[in-house]
Amino acid sequence: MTTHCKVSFDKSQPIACIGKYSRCVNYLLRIEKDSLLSSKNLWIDYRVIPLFQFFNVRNTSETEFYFIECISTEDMNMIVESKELYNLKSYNFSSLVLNYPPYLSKRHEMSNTLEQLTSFLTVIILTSDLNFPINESQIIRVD
Amino acid sequence: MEVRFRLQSLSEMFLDIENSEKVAVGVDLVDNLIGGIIPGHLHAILGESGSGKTWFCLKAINSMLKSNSSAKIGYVDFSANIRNNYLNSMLSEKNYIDQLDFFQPKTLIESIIFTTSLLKEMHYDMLIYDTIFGSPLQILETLKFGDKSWGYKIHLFLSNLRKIAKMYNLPILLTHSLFNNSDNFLSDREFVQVEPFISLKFRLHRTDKERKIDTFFFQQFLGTEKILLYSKE
Repeated sequence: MTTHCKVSFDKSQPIACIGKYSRCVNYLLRIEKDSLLSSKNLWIDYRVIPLFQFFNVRNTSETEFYFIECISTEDMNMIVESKELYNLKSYNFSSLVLNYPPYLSKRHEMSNTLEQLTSFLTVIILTSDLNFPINESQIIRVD
Repeated sequence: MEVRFRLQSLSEMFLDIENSEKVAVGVDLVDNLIGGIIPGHLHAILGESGSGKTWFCLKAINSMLKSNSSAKIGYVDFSANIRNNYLNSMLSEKNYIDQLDFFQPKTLIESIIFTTSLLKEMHYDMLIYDTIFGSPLQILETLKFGDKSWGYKIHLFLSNLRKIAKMYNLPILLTHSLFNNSDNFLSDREFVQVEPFISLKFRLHRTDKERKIDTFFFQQFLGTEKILLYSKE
């Protein structure tokens, strides 16, 4: 059975969700949509999207997901660094989830862009360790 | 391509898979439910030694060559599992052997270099990596110097394979040895995990009485099927 929990965050900064990928996905999908995810979410991932996990959610809620599957870290860099992400607002996206690939860099090269995107999006980064340089209060540990 | 054109909804992603022309593998459960393996995607066959990983690859080869008589298949055999006698008895037509290109790397680095070269040019309709990281012994051999950069190299290797699958719309099969309890040191190593990159997973089980194959489609368990190894097509 799916449980829902409501948690509040400071959305003016990126939020790092740290833990095993499948657990992070489960966590994000079961928290209430007004706490992190929104009605229209963009999910950028270097992994193969676990379609069924999202499909079950889609059938049970009004949360809408759009995806971009990256085929390399360069590809992910290109997408995040492109100015086009700033247009997401006009497409009514209000949350961005980024599955941050391991070995990209010790200090996150995309952090400036992601911080800027928080002006109109909730930015959530899935990562497996503490490499992401953000305020510690913005870290969710999913064990 | 502009970012906005790369956006896909869940329905579009499912539709893409549904509409793609599949390659039957000769395993009823997979062929009946999904239609076979999917071009543009990576597929993993996982199991302990002797569970039937190479057998699965040969089934897929027979199946592809039956439906496409001019197809070319690249077979990267890291553990030298394929021996001529076995191959002749497993291929349903003798001339199929002419349509297989074998590459037997001696080290993982050789395999990685070969794969990188495929990014530039592709001659195959399907790629198979049998025992992709080598046998448990070969993996131990690779790791014994404690080179931490292996994690990065392997991540890049799998990313490149996925890139090749997408670029050339190829189905790629990977087999990977799972380790028994005594090999826990290896089974815990994150870098030999292929799951993040694959769409279909086949988990082979071996017992004294029978062999079974569990099938997962995007991490969703589809079902299990008994298999009979070594039967000629």
